[in-house]
Amino acid sequence: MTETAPPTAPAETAAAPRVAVVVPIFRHSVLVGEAVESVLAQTAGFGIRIVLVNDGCPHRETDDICRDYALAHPDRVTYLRKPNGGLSDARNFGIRHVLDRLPSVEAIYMLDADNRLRPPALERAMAVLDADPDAAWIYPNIDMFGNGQQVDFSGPYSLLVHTALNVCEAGSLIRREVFEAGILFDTGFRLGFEDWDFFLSAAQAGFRGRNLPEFGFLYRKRPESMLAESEREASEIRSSLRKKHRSLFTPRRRLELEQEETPRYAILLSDRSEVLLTVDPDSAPRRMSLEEYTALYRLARNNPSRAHVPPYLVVTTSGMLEVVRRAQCLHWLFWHLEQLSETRGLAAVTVRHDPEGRYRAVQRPVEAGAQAAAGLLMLEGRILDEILEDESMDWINTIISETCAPPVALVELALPAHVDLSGLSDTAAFDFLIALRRMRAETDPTAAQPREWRKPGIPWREKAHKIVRDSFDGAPVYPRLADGARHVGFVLPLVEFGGVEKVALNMAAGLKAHGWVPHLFVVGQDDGAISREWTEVFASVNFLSDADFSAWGGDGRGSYVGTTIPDWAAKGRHNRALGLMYWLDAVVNAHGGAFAGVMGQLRGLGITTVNSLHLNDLSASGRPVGNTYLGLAYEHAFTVVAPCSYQLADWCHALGVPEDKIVPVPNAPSFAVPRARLERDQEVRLARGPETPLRVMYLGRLDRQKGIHRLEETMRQTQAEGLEVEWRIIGKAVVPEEGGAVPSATLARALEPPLETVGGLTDAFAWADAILLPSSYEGLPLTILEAMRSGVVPIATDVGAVSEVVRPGRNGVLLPLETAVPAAMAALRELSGDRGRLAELSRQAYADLRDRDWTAATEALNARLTTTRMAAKSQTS
Amino acid sequence: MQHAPLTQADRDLVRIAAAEADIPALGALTLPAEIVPVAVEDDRCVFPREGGTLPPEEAYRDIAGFVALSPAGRETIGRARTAWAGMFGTEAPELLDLGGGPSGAEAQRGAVLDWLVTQLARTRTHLARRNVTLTRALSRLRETHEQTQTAFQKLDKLFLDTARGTRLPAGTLPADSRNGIGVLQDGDMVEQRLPCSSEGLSDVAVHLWFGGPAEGTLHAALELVESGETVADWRLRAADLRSGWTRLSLPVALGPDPQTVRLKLVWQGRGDITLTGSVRPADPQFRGQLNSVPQASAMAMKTWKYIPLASTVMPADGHPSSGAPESRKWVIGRGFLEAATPIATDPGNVEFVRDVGGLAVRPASTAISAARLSRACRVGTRRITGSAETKQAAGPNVEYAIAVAPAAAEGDETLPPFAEGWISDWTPLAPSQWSELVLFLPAPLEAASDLYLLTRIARRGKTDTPPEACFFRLVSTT
Repeated sequence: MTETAPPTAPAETAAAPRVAVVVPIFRHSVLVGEAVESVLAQTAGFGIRIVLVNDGCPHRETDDICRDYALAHPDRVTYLRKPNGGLSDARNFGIRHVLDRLPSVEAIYMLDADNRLRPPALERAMAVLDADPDAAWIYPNIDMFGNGQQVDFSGPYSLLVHTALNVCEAGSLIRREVFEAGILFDTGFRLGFEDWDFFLSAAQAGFRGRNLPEFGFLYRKRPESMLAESEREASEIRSSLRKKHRSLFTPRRRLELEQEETPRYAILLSDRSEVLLTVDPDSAPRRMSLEEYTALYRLARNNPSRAHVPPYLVVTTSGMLEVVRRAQCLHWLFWHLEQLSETRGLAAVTVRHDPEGRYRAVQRPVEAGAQAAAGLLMLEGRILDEILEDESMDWINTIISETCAPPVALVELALPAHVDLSGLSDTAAFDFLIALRRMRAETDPTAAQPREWRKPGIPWREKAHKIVRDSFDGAPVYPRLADGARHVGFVLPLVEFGGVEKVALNMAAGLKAHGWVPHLFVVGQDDGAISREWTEVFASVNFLSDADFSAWGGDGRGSYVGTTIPDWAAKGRHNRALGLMYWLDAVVNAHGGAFAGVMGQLRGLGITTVNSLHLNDLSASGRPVGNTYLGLAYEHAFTVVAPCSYQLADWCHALGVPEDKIVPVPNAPSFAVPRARLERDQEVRLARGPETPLRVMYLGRLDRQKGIHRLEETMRQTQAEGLEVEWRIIGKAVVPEEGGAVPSATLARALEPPLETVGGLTDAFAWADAILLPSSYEGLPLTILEAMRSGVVPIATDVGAVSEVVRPGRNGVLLPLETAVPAAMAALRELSGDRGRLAELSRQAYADLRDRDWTAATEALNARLTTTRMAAKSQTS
Repeated sequence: MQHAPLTQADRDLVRIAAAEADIPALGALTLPAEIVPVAVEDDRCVFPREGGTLPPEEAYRDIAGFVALSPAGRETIGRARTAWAGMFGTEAPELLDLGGGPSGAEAQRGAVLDWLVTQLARTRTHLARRNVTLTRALSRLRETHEQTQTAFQKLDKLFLDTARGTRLPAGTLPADSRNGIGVLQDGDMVEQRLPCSSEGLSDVAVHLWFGGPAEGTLHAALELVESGETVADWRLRAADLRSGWTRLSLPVALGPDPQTVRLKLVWQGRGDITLTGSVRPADPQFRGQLNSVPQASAMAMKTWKYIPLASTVMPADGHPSSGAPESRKWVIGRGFLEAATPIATDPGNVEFVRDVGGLAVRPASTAISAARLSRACRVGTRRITGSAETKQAAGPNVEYAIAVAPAAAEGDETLPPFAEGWISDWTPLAPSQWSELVLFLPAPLEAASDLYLLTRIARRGKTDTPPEACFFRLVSTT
């Protein structure tokens, strides 16, 4: 009998192999022969060295067969023996041997002892590595033999998908550089999926793989195997992977990958006949024609495992996008429409100016063909599939009629007048139908299409956006990429004309002056009094749009120190809020009530959370309650507690908040006035002679908190006494009360409507000599600060943190709450009769508030936020 | 008997390890093996030699044992053997301690040689036992293989003899004359990936269109992409080709190892011959390539599959691959039955019945109803057989016959006169009665001819509804 052995490689190629094949062996003492033979039968024109690694196998047969091959093919087979250490350890042993002893090897192939290769496999794989310098490893489709199927892993490599699915078999050809960079198999992964970990490590180091569909790798599949064992432990292994590769699994990183690899939106700009593929609508997208998009769509529907098409189609114009961008809600709108189009199929947006000057984003019923005038349409992929598979367009054609058959969620964006609407479009529905006709011309649903015969291996490719959502239990993820700036979100339950809103606005402006980019999040309503002043400070306007959200309201079963824990805080749909805000560097909760329940989770994402506190509310019985106490309940959720006064800071400390955590942001006047104007007004005030009546002003809401009854009584007494006092009462009831306070005739006669312009307020302060604020409870009222800055003498009840700025006898008058009216009368008599005293107090008030502004007020908070952010970034890098 | 002298390579295969201290003494023994010094550093064995060290994998492979001569040598070897176990995860080879043994070079040499012979004898015995085990396993495997092959062959033959094996349609990319691959020029190559795996593949058909006369050869080849093998090829003379589907058939279906298949066609010749296109594939992988340039559409294509690695009767419209054994039997299969032309009867009376896999030719009266299967009989056909049965429980008797006539012109729907010997006897069958029909032709066909399937109600029979008279398993023999 003649011995027939595979031909040996020419001496020169054998001596300087380009590829090494590492075969770890443990207990596959017979099957390893097939593996080795398959490598010896490779048809490559370059040398291949087989490195057999006996991982301490107890079968003598393994040693025999390995020795035999090493002796029979000394120029092609190396036999290494080691104590048992597991699969990863055995692979690493072989890899290290190759790196140390075979400098000519450019790539290493991992072949398990029970698998095989077809003869052209390594030649083909090496040719791809040679042709594609960006590919660090070539991975195969998996053709199983024994008990299995053939699985297709073709298509572009996606690291995002790779975080959800083990797409790269260990049987891959891997460039030497990967190992030389220190990437090896983790011996800690003894339960399996060590290859998944390996390739994720390589990807984190910047390497990328590439599939070769016709690789020729044959995987032996048996019902019981190491893989079967791994499948049983899959949950634990995945958890280990997430912990080890934490930075890959963060929402921000996944969003970046989504942008690069599997963009979420295809935005058809009908005025440009262009389709933009992107996640972040403000980021540089991939551009293509509608024809190219249609071809991509067809390919992805034909083989969704192999090709990706964005799951959402948006139809609009460039002008309309610009309008939404100017309205500063572009990212929010896409986020919001994503959810709506999922539940309804189609989401449409109309835009107009709001006659009341408010900012609204409200869902409207689809009536009388309102959807036909939409300027932007978003639809989910499955709806597009249905439409293109439909034999006729009758159903979708109704989208431009009064009887719209497709389910549409209609969002009306009503904007204040200052938002420029030029470029607005209302043709999205028509444009969509035109585009559909063009797409249908290219797509024949009845034509028999050839399909890949292997089973699809990457089901995640067509729903890659759900991988990103995995971080938030399936909730949509705000489509905004990091841009290197520092972003801070301000959470408000509503935006009307309250003090909390003003403080938030000014705190945001202060942080903006320190280089932060503020964003507004309104959680309790879908509209607000968001004027130009707001949009000049906040870079974006966002609404939580959760119908279940209520800032307060609960069954009382949960409470902390007498304040009810709102239901939404304890058990609301937090994942939606997290998906909305995860991308921020800091979040300031400005009396957001139940939103405190989310802050801990935001903090867990590495966001610096700030609780901005203003005042204790009082219950009907006068007991302190509210956001301050809720803040104590959720103290652990906040990185920083930012009270508006030092007094409130002391209170927080006394109630258990660590001192280091408290960063007061003392209130400052809420609007800027040129210094020259202030100086002029003060001059005029001080020049007024004693013959003029004492000008006293009240500015604010007319309700019980503000002490309306005390104001009325004081006015009555001054009139009864014949005191030379001229009154101005400016304001209205903002917070409605049941059976609420109706202004008396006295007040009604003097009542002026609220002032909404800086000019009006400045003029009002310029007129006044003194301001009376007889509140029952307060934080640190902005009105007092604004008044004092102008030189107006404050006469105010000693509540809240008023005494922090009003120093009696120096720059104002403090009234004891219980005897506020008599004390106010005494003060008014004194100031009316002694204009010198008035001037003295005025000068001091003016001087004390001269340099008080929000930039200074937010200095400490900025420093803390900056430090905390840097620490968080260094932890994740 | 003279043995070839040992070469250095031979000597290198047998190595003995010893401590440095014992090397000179051992070297003086002129042993027929390499003496390899061993030392221990950081709990690892090292094997220093001139110019470097012996790699540990070679040491593991080749060292037959350790020899110690002196106490110092023994101590070093002891540590080395411990280190060996730690390095390689297995016990170290045997130690021959000559410390307390024979003195004198000759005695020591003898002791070492004895020991070496013992080691080698043990190895030889072990190898012999291993070889026997492997030979036994191979024998068993061979026996099993022979049994499997024999059983499969019998099954194969049964299906062949009874022509029961049916090549099943596996997929179609329909011909669309609007999408063509183009008029083929001399030397043009067209290739395309098949939309199915190779497992059990038995036939591939492409659609040709002849705009005028053509002269030349169409070469076809099937390639398995993953393994790079060409598994079948055809050389088709233009004279043997017609417009329409051209079926390329394998005598044995491809094996159970599924791979991607590519079809390559090369035209050598001249004339007006076009490959018809099909759909425009969404996936570019399936586009036809003309001279390596991707085209907009795929080639029109049909595929069939059968039991992997099994033989089956060639289809009557199939072109056998090169090297295929000469086939004498040809199945007139579903393709022909589905394309049958009704003759002398209502068109509705001729119908391929999927449930029974046969062609119904329903007679309305005692007049003949017929179905024509165009060119179903190949050149050289001498005999046609088929099965017939009226697929209903009750009704009139039906008479069945089969006939052959020269190929009719397209559009001709008349029943030709059948010459003597070119029509079988009429076989009367009661409902649900089955029979085989046979037609022995007076001479082998000189040209492809039409097959006629004929039925009529038996004399004195009548019916309001034409009975379900069906023909099956038509086979021609050349």
